[in-house]
Amino acid sequence: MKKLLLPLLGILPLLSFAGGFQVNLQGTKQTGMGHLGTSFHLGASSAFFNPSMMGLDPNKFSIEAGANFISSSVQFQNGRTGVSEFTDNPLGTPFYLYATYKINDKLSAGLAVYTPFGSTVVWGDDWSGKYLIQDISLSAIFIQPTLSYNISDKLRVGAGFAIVQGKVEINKALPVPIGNTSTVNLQGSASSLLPSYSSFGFNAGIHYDVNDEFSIGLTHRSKVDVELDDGVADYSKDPVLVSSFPDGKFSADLPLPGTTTLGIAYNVSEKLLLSLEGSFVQWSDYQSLDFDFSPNTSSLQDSENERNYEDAMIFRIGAQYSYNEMFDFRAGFYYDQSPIQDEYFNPETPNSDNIGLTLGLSGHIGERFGFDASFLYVIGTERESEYQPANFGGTYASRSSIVGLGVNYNF
Amino acid sequence: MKKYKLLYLLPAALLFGCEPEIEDVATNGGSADFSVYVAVGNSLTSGIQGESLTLKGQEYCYPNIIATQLKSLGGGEFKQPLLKGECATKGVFTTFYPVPTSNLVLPSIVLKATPTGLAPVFPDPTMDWYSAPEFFENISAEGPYNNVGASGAKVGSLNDPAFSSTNNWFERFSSPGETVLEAAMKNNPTFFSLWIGANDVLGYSTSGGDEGGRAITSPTEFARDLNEALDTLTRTGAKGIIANIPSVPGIAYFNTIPLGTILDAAQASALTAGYAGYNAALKNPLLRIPAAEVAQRTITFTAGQFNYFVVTDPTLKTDRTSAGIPNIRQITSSEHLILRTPQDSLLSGWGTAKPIPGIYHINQEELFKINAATADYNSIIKNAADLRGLAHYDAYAAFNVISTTGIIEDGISLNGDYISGGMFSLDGVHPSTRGHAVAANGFIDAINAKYGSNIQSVSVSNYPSVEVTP
Repeated sequence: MKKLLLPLLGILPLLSFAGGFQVNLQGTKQTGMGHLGTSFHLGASSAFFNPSMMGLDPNKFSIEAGANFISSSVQFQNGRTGVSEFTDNPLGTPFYLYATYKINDKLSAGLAVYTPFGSTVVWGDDWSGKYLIQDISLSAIFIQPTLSYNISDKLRVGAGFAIVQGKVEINKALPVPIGNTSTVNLQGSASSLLPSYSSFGFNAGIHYDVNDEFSIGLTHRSKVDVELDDGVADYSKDPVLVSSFPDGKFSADLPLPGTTTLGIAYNVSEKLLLSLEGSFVQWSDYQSLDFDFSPNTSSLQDSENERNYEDAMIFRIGAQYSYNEMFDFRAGFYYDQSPIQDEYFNPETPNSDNIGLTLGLSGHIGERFGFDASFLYVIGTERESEYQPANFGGTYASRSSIVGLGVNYNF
Repeated sequence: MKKYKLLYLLPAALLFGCEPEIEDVATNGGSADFSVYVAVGNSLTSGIQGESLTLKGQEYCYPNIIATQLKSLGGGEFKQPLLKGECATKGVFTTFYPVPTSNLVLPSIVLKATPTGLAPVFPDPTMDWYSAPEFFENISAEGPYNNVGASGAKVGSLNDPAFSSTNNWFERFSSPGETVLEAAMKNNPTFFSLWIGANDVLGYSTSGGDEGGRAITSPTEFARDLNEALDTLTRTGAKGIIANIPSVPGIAYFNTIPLGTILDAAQASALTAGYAGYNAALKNPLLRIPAAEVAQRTITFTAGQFNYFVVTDPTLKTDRTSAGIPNIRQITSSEHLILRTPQDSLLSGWGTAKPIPGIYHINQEELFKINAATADYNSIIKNAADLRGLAHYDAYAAFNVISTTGIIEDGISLNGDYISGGMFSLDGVHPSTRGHAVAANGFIDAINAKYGSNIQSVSVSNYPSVEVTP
């Protein structure tokens, strides 16, 4: 298993195709049915979807890993000029790795490694919004040790804490009145493992079997502040601007919002499972992206950039059909609301209300080994928005195709 | 059933890839015909930047930007009297008189790193002349030209047959005796823009007001000449737009040189001592200077504070120069010093130990005349536009916003500050390239509003900022 995973770990750029820069691709099985899995068990990935369900695994030990291959495109039609511009995003490959272990009938332990936030948007060096953003790449990896406990046959709880590794890189052109090719490159990273850093996340869940047919799950994944303390600001500029824009440091805080999810699963028959979920994402924590530059000059002041995100909802519906011993088929649909107001829509996160259509397939080879595949098509609905503080806007729309592949091994 | 639909959709999505498709904007010309556009005006129209003409300035002039946007609405070729040869890149400074020999011109103002920092460097008339015979070649045979803007044109120049022999800029591309309006009408325009009038007041202002010797055109003459020009331009049924004049005292040219300086204790006491005799003389009852004027003229310096400069002001009511009392006073906060006030002189004592000559100073009375003339012209322009049903671009209002609060376009902050504001070129009078893009968008908005067209604007971020010359 480790051999398979190593090359995936090396490829990090992620893509934004969920609300804001949230990435909802934490399990290929779940992705195949609308990315829901809070209220029913689907293998080791439960460590993420609802930690309380780890004990539901029929196996002693279960491990699951996978990656997604995202190709996406955002179109911007400038509201002033009518000219369309497209992103040239690289292939994104977020990944996940889960392992659960049943210590006894009551207690299970697990480890989850996943990428719940990330975004790579490449507009190019010379597009009309270059003074807002040329390209941005941000990613956060969560490493989450987890425990679950079965309170009774019907009720279980679980929780884990998450060590967060975040990094961000931004390129943009400098809107200075002289010289035409001046740009800034901002790079920063943060880690919960650093002594200066205080922020951990947690992921807690509860799961209840109402009867043989219905079960309910509720989870909360906490807000995490990514504190970029030692960022590097590197200017490439006209030589006359050297004193105005000295290379230096910056710090910035990027909040990753908390998410509360309530799900219900209905076993229609032995073969067919239906599920509904609603998530509440507390994006209103993201009010402003502030850069504290050092050193400051009269041209290089600390910058406050309004974001004013609003809380957003995600609604999901999905179905799984167990065709036979070998194959499961899945399909789903979700509606993922954008947290961004029309007046504060910055092309660094070109996120509109997303509609996701998904298909999935799982296969079992022998008793222990399984593979999963999913396909997700995301329609980023057309919206007319602007970033008022920069007086820049137009019509945005996006499309993404995401192929997910996963493997699991159980014994 | 829904499931079947989804199953059908997903492979389709795979096949057709993942590019979103926002519908293209449908363009329409409204009630105007943009097939032949001519631009009539002065240096703003011809593309002067940094007090000089260059090929880049011509490329980025607002008429050329508008003409490019008109292409998708049936707009034809927009021919400009482009500079050729060396002067296309080096530029031709507007002030090329006196010319030692007919083929010599001065290059552009450039922005350069100097020993004291980044600064605009003006061509030196004692040594920078270069030979530019191409500039003096007559290119009228290659016309007609859609851009007939000529630096220095006043409203009265448009119908003046002598203009083609007295103005080098127009002489270049006109035949002898041809008027600006005739040159415009040779195109059989279906649409025109007219931005004229700034020189009718600006020449007076930039030369320092009453001391400069260039008069303000009277509103009566202005109205007569403007209406005559519009009668000609609309003669064959062309529609068009007319822009008014931005506030003259609002331009960087009048708002860059500080009006005073902070003095230390030693400087303040030395200067106070220096002006003690003058201050005492003002109060001499034999000179009969009214008390209010004595107060206006009394010169005081305070250590550690901002002290307004001393200027010569021949418009002071009580002239006692014959008694050896100079016509001097301290400038007030609402007045202006022009950009061409020699800075080295300021550093060596102008404004403090010595008065700044009046030609560099716009005083209250001159300001009043400038503002009154601008207001008169602008109401004449508005009436003329309304009378003929023409579009009207309120450049006065637009540039006022820029110089008072500033604007933001595509993430670029623009305001009226010299160089750092990004809106004015190095002369502090003419817009920069981005300033032209902003103006072009203003024209386009006004045309669309009047004629129901939807000419697309331009992204200011696609236009370069002021270049630094290595």
